[in-house]
Amino acid sequence: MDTLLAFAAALLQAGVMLAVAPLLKTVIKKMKARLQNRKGPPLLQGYYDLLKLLQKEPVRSETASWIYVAGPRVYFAAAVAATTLVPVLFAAAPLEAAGGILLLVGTLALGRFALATAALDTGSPFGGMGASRDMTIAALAEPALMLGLFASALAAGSLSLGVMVRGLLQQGLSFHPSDLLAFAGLFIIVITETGRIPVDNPATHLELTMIHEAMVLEYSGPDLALVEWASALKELLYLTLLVDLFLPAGMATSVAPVALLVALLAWAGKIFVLAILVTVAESTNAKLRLFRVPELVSVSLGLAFLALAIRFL
Amino acid sequence: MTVNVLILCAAGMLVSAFLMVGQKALFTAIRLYGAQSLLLAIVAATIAISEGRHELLVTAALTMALKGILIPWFLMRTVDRIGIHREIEPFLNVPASLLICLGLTVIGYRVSTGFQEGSRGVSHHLIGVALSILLIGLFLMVTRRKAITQILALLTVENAVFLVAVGVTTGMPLIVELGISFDVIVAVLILGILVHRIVDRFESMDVSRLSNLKG
Amino acid sequence: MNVLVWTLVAPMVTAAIGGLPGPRRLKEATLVSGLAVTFLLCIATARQFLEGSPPSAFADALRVDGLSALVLVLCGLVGLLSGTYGVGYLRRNEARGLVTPRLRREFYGLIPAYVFAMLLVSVSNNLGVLWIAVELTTLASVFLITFHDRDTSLEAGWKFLVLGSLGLAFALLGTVLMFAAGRSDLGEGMVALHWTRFMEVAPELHPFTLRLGVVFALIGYGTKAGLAPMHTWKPDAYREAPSPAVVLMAVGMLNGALYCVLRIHLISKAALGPEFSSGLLLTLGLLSVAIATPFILIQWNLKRLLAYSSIEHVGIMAVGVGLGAEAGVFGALLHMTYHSLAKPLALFSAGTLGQLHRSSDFDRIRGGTFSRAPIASSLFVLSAVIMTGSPPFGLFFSEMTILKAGFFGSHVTATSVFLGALVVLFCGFAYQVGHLVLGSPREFTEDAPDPERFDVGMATAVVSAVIAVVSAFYLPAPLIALIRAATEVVWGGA
Repeated sequence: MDTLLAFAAALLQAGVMLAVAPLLKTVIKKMKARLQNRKGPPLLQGYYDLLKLLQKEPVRSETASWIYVAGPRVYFAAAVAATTLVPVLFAAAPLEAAGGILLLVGTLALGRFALATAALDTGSPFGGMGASRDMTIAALAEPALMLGLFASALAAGSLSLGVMVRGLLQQGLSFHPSDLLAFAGLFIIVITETGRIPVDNPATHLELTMIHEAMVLEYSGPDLALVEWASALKELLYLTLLVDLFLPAGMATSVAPVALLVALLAWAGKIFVLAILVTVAESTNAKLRLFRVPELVSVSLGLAFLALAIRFL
Repeated sequence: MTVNVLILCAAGMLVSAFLMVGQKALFTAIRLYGAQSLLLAIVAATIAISEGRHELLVTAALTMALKGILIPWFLMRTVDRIGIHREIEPFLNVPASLLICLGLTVIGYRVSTGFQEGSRGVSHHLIGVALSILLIGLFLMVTRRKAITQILALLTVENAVFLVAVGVTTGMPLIVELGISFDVIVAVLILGILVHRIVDRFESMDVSRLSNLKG
Repeated sequence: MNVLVWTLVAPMVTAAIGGLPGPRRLKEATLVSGLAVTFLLCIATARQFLEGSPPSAFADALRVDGLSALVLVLCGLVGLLSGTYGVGYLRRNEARGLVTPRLRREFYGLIPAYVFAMLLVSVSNNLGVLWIAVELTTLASVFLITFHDRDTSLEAGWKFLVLGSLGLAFALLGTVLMFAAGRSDLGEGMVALHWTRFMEVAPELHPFTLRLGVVFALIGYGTKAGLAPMHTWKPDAYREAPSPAVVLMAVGMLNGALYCVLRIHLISKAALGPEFSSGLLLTLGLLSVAIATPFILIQWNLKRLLAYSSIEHVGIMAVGVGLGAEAGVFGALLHMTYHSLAKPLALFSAGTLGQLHRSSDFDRIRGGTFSRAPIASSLFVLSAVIMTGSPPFGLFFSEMTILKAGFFGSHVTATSVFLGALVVLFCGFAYQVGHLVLGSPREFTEDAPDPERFDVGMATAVVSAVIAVVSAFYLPAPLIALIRAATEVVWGGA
């Protein structure tokens, strides 16, 4: 009975996240446009784009194999699975019994691996280039992500996100310098993982400047829709992770409708604030040259490591 | 509440020092210094309000005005006039520098455990951050080649000293604070004048070219 | 207003007048008379101290005890000598057309300003005012170092300001930490930073914080004194600055920085026991003497040679204090006095030689200066004999006192190393000087050196020679009383 309930809650949470994800992407686009004195796309544009792509016929390369078809689907599935491990509105993740931080990072890594392999499968040079670039950056970004998460985990004494959130809710609002350091480090990682300026330009049309986009250059129709949706979902997931670890106040501890409503409003507000931060970071920085990106990520690695070290000094 | 603000600001200063190490653009480095000074002013103001020491408010205002606004403006104007906007390859590359700064921060924090715990309960963190920023500033001074970055490193060291002064002591007498601020301003002005002369003479801000005098 | 305040006002006024435009003769006269008045006021202040009513001002923020009085008098004397020589120096440069009115105003303004800052250092009782005064000396001397506006001057000025500011930042941190060590016991307001207050509450200061503060403060003020390994700015600064300014740096600032070091040392001694800071001073002093040795042997410039000699002498003074015996302290203060009386001669004669040859580099001067500039050369040889500590001159006696204190105390190995370094230094210095002065005169194909003339600068050099020689055999009784009073302060800590 419990597992059924858990799965139902997981499906519900995944559904909600999937529904909200395109909105987040469009909100950031609109805010960036406003900062550049443009009007930007309408708020529902994300949904329109997904609908349009889902209705089209996929054009697939003849030399590609089943890996090429499986890539977007595994990527999407991994992203959805990852959302079930993270507490969003409720101070517990639906499937938190399955695993904590390590499972989360591993799942996301699985998605990335599937996409990169599929990119290699097409035989197109851009696919290979994008895959290798993405993997290089991931090699640095993932340890930084893990260290940043570990900093909070060690303070809470558990690798499970649900336990961490509940512990933070209990002790109330009190900061430690390592919190800010970990936040700064993780924020840089969020920028890196979601492929935003200064790491990668999501709106670029020049293939040689692409990192993430080059991997998905060959996809069209429903395949592309799955990839886009999963990327948006990952973005929402990372921002939710930041909210969980650093400012979980307002999350529901009971299933009462009032609590859930408050939690929804709080979550929406915090995600919006973080979206503003991302927009500002994107708009005030120039895209880094490729071989400077490891420098940025090593700054993040350093900050995360420091957060870990300082907590125990 | 006060404790949280103090800790957040001190951690912010440390983050800004780290970002300065990974920074190549001179303008951003100067802005980071300005942000650091602003956070320092907030620390001073918070302590002033929470403990009722009103002379510290004057010091906080002075810090905000001089170090947060005036000195960065002056430095940016100097960089503008000179026309050199980026740091050249420092003696150590960025990842190695970051690793060393990490080690320095750990050392700084370790040393801070020896201090007596103050009445506010945050002295440990404030001194740890201050000593770390001091060591990082020293490191920047040794490994950077542009004159402006050396000035920034020196100013970062001064910020660290000020943080110790404000965070651990009850603040030094106001006249002394005024004298020290005045001295720092004049020193920065003179350094700016020297940078102008150096660029005029050597066509570059690269301090490693100033190595004719040996022995 | 008491005599102490007048002593500080006099050089301030001289500096202000010097910065204004005006006819050359009038400016020269103002400079010399202003500095002479300052010197007389210094003597008056010291006399008031010796008579038993030490003057103080601004609620004891400025205070004169034995150490202050000694340093005050020495700085005042060297200020006057520097001013007089400076007049001759500028006249010579003006004859060559090197001096613009703006440069002249800078010179006449900055030299008394520097003297003011030095005097302020020597009478500061408040650690905050002390720091500000040392920073003022740094700021006043930067433009003196870049006076000639050569490439190397800019380099020297930059290094000086950056290293000096860094050292002062350390000293400030040290001061702040020492203040933090006695937070609750020191009280409120300006009094809390008074050195006398620190000495009163010394046993209650928090040991760890104080230790850290003392280390930082010693490193910081040691940078200004020129103790190794923080000495690297000295040779460049000495070479580039005009000789009258170098005299102020070599004597006035050295004494002033040493004064700061001694005040910190006394606090540390009272609070933590003598071994901690004595050990630090001994190490820094030995390091300075040891590092000066090879650089003197490979030297290529006259004024840098004298810079390393300065580093050696401040090292000797630090060793004297660091040995932890009363005789050592007396020897160190005696050394400071004799050094202040003899160094001007060295710098004036070397400066004259440098000016005549348009450069103080050895390869411009080398070979047989004796035939070209007999007075300056003989004065220089005399100064070399005195500075390397040969009998029967004063520096020999002070070094012997220190050595005796060392060998009869507990630091026998350190003293032996010290003695060895002194011997090598003597030989090295003698070699360099002999090489320069003696030998067959070199033919100059172009840019021949100016002929020697007996002008104001030369006269000052001769006067300083007389002072240096006479002081070997006779020191005025009040001066001896001052040295004894200073020893009492540094040894007894009162």
